[in-house]
Amino acid sequence: MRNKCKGFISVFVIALLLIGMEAYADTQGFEHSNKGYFEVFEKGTGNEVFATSWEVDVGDRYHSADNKMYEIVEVDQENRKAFAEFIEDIKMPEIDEIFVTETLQTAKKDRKVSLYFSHNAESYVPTDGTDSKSGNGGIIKVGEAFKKGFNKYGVETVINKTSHEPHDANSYVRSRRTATRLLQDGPDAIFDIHRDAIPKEHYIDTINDTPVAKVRIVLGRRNQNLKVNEELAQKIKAISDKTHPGFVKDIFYARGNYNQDLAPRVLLFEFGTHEHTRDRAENGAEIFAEIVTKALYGGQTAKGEQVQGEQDSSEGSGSGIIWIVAIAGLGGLGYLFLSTGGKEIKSKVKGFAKKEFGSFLARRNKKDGRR
Amino acid sequence: MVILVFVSVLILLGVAHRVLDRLRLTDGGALAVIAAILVGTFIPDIGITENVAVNIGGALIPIALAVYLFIKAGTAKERTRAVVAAVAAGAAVYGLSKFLPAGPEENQFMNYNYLYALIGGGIAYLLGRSRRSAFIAGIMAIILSDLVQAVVNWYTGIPGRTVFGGAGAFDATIIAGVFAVVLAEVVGETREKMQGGTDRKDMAFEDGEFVENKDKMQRNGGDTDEK
Repeated sequence: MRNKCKGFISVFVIALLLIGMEAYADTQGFEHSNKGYFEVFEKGTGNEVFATSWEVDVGDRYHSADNKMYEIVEVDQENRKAFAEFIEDIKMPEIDEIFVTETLQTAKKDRKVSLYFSHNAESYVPTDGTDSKSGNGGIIKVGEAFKKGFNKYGVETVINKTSHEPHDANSYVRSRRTATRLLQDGPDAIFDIHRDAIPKEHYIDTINDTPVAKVRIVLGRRNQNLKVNEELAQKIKAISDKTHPGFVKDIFYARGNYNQDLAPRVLLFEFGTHEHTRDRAENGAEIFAEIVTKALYGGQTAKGEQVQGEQDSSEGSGSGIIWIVAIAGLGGLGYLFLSTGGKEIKSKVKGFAKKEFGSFLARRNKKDGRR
Repeated sequence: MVILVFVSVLILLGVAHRVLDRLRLTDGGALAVIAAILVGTFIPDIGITENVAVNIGGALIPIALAVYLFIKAGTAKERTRAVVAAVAAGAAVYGLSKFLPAGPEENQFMNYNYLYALIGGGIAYLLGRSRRSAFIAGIMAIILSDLVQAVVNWYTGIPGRTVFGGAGAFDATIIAGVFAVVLAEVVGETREKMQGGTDRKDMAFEDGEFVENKDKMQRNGGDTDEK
């Protein structure tokens, strides 16, 4: 009886502990904004470069609205401030002419993109009444508006609303499973839809008298697909700069990989922030779909010239291949050094040469009259 | 672009094959396991409840392999250590998922997939210095953590979906299992290297295996040990 009692108490304590951990995670789940946002200033001048609810780290890069590259060189975690140095002016892809929308609609078929939500509880306070809505956050509606925009241009859009809650460190471990499943349908690109958590002044904009929220593109800088994804992100921004200057506010190169290691053309978009109405983000998403369609699939200009889209481009793949082969090669060499002694390496190299080139060398020796 | 994807997958499979080789599976066995994981990745998940499902390649095959290695373990002590390592690693992963920052971008050390491998491999290595235990702990750390999360979700009404091994060959489960063994291997080999090698340092390496050093045998009158 006493043992039974002990068993019940143990189970109760473990359950309490697990629920306590969950409650702790919930307090952390203010969708990026629990610790406040970071303000990043230019080192030397003190001018504000950007603000973000993402954690920033030394080495992170930032592509500004006016196409300048900065690198974070100093982080003050306590005061949520960071300092960046100007690196270079970015040479953006040439966008000679703005593509004609009508031709996009009648262009080739078999266009497909997929959307998912790693943080599907993210919401917009003025519309949703909270910044985080379990099970069905306002961000899902923004994804639907994005899909509507794509459909206008003949792009089939799969929208996956799987919940990856709770909002803890494993959200991306869980959303990786959704992204992998989506990839199996062979989409041309996959987008993870988010919203930011900084003051609304950084995101509000107007396009043709329509209130919109600007868009930020986030790239993971620790994976082999960075160059390919960067190329697509820059193309999107270049087209946006021509049609709606400032609408794509920036590109943030952060730590982590956001499932972007799974395949090329996997991007993360931030549609506005939690402080403005959801309508702004939905309006922005619909307009943004047109820009992404142009970047992905190209189209015809008003003069009838064909413009290639990123879907048909393989630039950036080379550096990705070199990156991954170099890491594998270095890892292999390091392991060989650790796991084998001098004798073993010598013997293995000798054995390999004898086995692989033995017959060739024998022929040469025979030809030279050597035995 | 296709080559980039192909090379990425090839290298992951290459590492996985080497790891299975180190777990003393035959070449054929290792290839069969990799093929099963790959095929299983593309088979639709098996639904258990509305919010719980399991992927064949990412969960069932690695669990089956972990059970096989567990049964094949040399001693009862090794089996006990493997179970303790798996439970400890599972608890550590679950606990860390609540206390670590909520996104990989906020992680100041490394990608969580590899952090969990480090935890699984590290705990298993500390407990038993066994590659088998490292693999079992790496796989089960993620499976057990997901299991606890699924129970907590059900109990507290969180609508999150749990798909065990849902990303198949690319799931944290496989990554943790594979890299836990790599970690155990690297740490073990580094320790040996720092110690100046094992008994084999006095042996010669011929035709893919260590043999008695003939020169030394002659010098010592047929005994390899220098006394």
